[in-house]
Amino acid sequence: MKILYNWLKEFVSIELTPEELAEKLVALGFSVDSIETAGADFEGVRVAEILKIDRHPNADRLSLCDITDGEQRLTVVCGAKNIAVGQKVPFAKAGARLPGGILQKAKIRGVESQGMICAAGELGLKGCQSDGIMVLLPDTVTGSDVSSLFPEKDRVLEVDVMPNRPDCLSHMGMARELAASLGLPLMKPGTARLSCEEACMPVSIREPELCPRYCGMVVRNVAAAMSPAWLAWRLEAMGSRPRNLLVDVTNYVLYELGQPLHAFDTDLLRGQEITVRRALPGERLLTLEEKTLELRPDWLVIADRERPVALAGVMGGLETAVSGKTRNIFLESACFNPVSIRKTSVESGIKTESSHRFERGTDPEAASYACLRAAELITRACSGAAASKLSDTRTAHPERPSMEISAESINSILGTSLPDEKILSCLKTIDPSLGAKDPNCNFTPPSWRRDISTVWDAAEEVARILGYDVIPAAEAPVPMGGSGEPASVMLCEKLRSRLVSSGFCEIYTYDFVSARELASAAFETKRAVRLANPLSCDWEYLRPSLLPGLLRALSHNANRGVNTACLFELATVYDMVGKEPRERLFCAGIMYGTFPAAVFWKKERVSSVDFFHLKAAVSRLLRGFSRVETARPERAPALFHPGLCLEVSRDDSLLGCYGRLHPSAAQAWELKNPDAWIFEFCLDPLSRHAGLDFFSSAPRVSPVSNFPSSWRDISVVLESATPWEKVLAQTLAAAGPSLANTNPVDLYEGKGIPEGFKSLSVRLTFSLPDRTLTDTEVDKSVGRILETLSSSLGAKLRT
Amino acid sequence: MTPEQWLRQIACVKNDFLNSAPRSASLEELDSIKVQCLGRKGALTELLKLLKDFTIEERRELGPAGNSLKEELTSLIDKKHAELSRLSIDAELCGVRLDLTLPASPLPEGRLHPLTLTMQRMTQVLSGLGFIRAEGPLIETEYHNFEALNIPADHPSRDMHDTFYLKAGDSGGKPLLLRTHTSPVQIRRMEKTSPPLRIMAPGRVFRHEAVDAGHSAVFHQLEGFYVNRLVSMADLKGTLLNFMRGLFGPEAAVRFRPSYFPFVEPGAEVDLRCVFCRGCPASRQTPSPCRGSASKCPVCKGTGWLEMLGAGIIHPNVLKTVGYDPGLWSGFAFGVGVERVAMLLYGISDIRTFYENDLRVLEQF
Repeated sequence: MKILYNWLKEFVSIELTPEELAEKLVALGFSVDSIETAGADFEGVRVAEILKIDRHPNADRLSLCDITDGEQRLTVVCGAKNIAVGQKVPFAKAGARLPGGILQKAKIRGVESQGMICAAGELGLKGCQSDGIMVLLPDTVTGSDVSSLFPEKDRVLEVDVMPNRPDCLSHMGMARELAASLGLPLMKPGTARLSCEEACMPVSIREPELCPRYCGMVVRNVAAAMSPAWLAWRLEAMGSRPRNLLVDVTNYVLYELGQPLHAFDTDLLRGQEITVRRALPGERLLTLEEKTLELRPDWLVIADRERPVALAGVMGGLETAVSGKTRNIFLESACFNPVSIRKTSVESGIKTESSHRFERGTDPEAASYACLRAAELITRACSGAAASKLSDTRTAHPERPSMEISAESINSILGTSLPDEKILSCLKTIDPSLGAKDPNCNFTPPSWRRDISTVWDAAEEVARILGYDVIPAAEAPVPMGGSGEPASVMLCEKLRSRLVSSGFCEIYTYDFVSARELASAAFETKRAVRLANPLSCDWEYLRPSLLPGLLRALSHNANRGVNTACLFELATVYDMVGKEPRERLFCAGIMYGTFPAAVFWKKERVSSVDFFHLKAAVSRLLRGFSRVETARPERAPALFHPGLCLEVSRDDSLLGCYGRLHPSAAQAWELKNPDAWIFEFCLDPLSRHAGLDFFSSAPRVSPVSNFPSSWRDISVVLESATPWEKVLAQTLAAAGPSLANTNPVDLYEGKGIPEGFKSLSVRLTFSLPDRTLTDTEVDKSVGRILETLSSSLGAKLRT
Repeated sequence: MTPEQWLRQIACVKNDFLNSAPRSASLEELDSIKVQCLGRKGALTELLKLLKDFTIEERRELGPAGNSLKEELTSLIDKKHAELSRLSIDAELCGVRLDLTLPASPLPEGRLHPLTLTMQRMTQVLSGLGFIRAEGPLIETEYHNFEALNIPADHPSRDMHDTFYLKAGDSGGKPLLLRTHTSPVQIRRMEKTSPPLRIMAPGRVFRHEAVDAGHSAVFHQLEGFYVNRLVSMADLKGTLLNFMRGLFGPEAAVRFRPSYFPFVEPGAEVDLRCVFCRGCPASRQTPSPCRGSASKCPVCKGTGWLEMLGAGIIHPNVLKTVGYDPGLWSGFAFGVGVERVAMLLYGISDIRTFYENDLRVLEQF
């Protein structure tokens, strides 16, 4: 909310500069976003008339203007294009004070300028700005002070008022807050003395719950004239466009006292009575914004005898609004239920200064005063205007909570040891009736402080008034100790460090994906979690997979000249299980380009990332997790190459897949090099199972042999389709405990080997922990292995 | 030859050797000195051969002198030989020419994301202060995200949380949303655990707002809270002071300002003294990270303080909601933006940097 410095000072005589005031407000819990200047912030600027214009002898774009300021004729250099002889312009003589500083005499391109013809911006006049110099009205008196044409300078503070402090949404409220904390008196403006005995029109409240108080007043013989300049300028500085006296006064009182008001044209009301009720089915209201609202039956309306004339506390109706023809008005100053106003405002989509205050809660006790204050302002400005008696209908007197406060309880919340008197004197600024000597006294906050209802609230008040610096910093608490990190956290840390050591860079991407991206990844949209209110159509769904985000990041980098990258992300993915959304922790990665990155000057041969690089990364990732199995999937997921993909599972739950990126996906994400390798695993099956606490996941070390090992190479011819996995399994089964290591050393197909067969050479390493093996023992083992490979896989020893 | 003459000659041999051997510049020269002195016909060898012509008594005296000289000279030769051969190898190796200023070959080297690094540091510092890590779901109910945190429906404080809602509801048909802060973890934890407890919960949160340099629809928070007997604002200040010192160094200072969050009372906005200009009025204008000399510190905008986090004493309504007796237990809670901390730590000015994943940025970590 905007606070005008001079306006505030009408109610509390603070001796703070605007900057000091801002610091005080921050200390009280109100952030100040900016301090700006409104009105005329200059001195010594006079109205001048342009008498003659010549070209500047040394510059095409400049002119020499002869002007008179009513006293003397002067020559001025001017760069503006919109000058003309006869214009009245603001003229600052050397020595004048402008918002930018004191104006000095200057020689411009060899000609001395005796002052400056000003643009609106140079005078700091916001809202009057246009190109070139400021041209004043022709009837302005030459020689008069320009600042007298504009409102007095004021400073505008943009203050953040939190939702719990609606009482500070006005100048009076803010002044009251400052007065309390600075110990200054609050000065309230006087209100109309009602000489007229005319009764107001009858008001009936049908919904006592929703409207605890309704005040009204009829003011006759008014005119919707222009507001006095001081009032209009203040509204303008508040950012509210002045319209006419009657509307402006309601707005002025809103900013002054925080009480929203509304003025009805009484002659347009059907039947001279006001009813506060819920809308009836089928009723409509044409609002001030010329929008027709279909009223919902739970919305509260203000109605005349026949129809709703305002959406209570939110916006008035156009049909009964004040216009140029208005002669008599009915002023409304009411108090409404905050929840009801909030609902109506949200459902109707209408937010106004009124609804903003009502939904936060207004002071029911302030309603009558505000009504009188508005009537006072109107009758003062309109001669002949007469106000009726105030009609005041109350359905409830909201209870003011009262609480037993002890200094001890306040000190224990704040962690302070403030003396009783200090605490009491703070609370007395809020509740002056508080007994000074009684340590356990009844604290009753005033009607506008509905945010204070417990001792915790009172503790905050004490700290606020004394300044939060009164709170000491206690010694750091002694650790309570605990049972360690959740399994998922430990798992994530472990996987992150493994991937980083394999050369992967971690990325963070947004959780949102588009329908198009889902389609590119062949995810069914009906299985994806959809947002009810997405920010844009690109962000309509929650990601069911991390791969689209990785591909987006890869493509971003590839477009910036990166041709080798390994990326991974560890984050939550979402999908629908039946009708309910589900969250799962996933880890996915992508390898792209060469591995490791190529160094051109070494002229080394570098290899592109291939399946076995990916396999190395995946094996490292999953190392140590028991019961992890790999198989060819029946159907590879859509983003994967169907021929180059393996599926990983643990205890029958699928973890995910790894393999080559499908070429059509590479195309969809515009990768120039389609050779990308990806993996994606669900981590829940890994963290769900036991074995992640430190002790049980610590590896149990097997002893190593101190005796020399022996090795043999064997070459066998097998059917091409026989997988290594099977060869290994048979070898291990046949060898017995002395076989320590089995490694393929050569793989060959072609000349010398029959079509459909391959030659495989394997190095077998034998070793025992307690002695050296003899050649005979090793040869025997090799013989057994060959026999088994031949009988189970049809392998023939290559000769 | 008399023993005296023999001894004189021995001394001569030693003298000659010590004058030449240590000065030899090459292995060849050293070898020839060795032959001249210790070879089959070398000077010392010849003298030792003469020993047999002396009497037993004389031999007993002269023998050890000769032999010890032989040992001494042999070891000198060996030492000098090792020295010279090392020099000759090095001379050869120095001929190897490789431009050592060329760029390093890349070892596969991954990086953790700056947000991960920041969260790791934050949780590391807090676990030193006794906080235990907890987690919660990202898809939340209105109850856990709002109502249980003293943010009732139709309350204006909901305006402080622009919320993403899901099309789908929960099993009871109630609306589901993406959590707008990490505070629901407080509720979920306290529902399950009886006090005392001290919890930290870093994680992802969502706000329905357009993305720009200062705002992100997706970001991270870290929630910390502590419930015990007589927990006060002073305990909160002490914890946060230590927390900030763990992140920004022992000079870090904090300031509390009144503020409003519905789930705490009293509530505070916590400022960190500007870590760049150090908050002192004179240097609020120094050019530490600020370009140009007389301009205000661009990070704190000359205020000397940086808004860091929101905190306060857990509202009694929140404690009641989870079944804690606010008469017996009290607690504090705080929530800090991870991106905010990371931006200060690493000098990043645009929050989108974290989600763009440009390797030229990520590789700087």
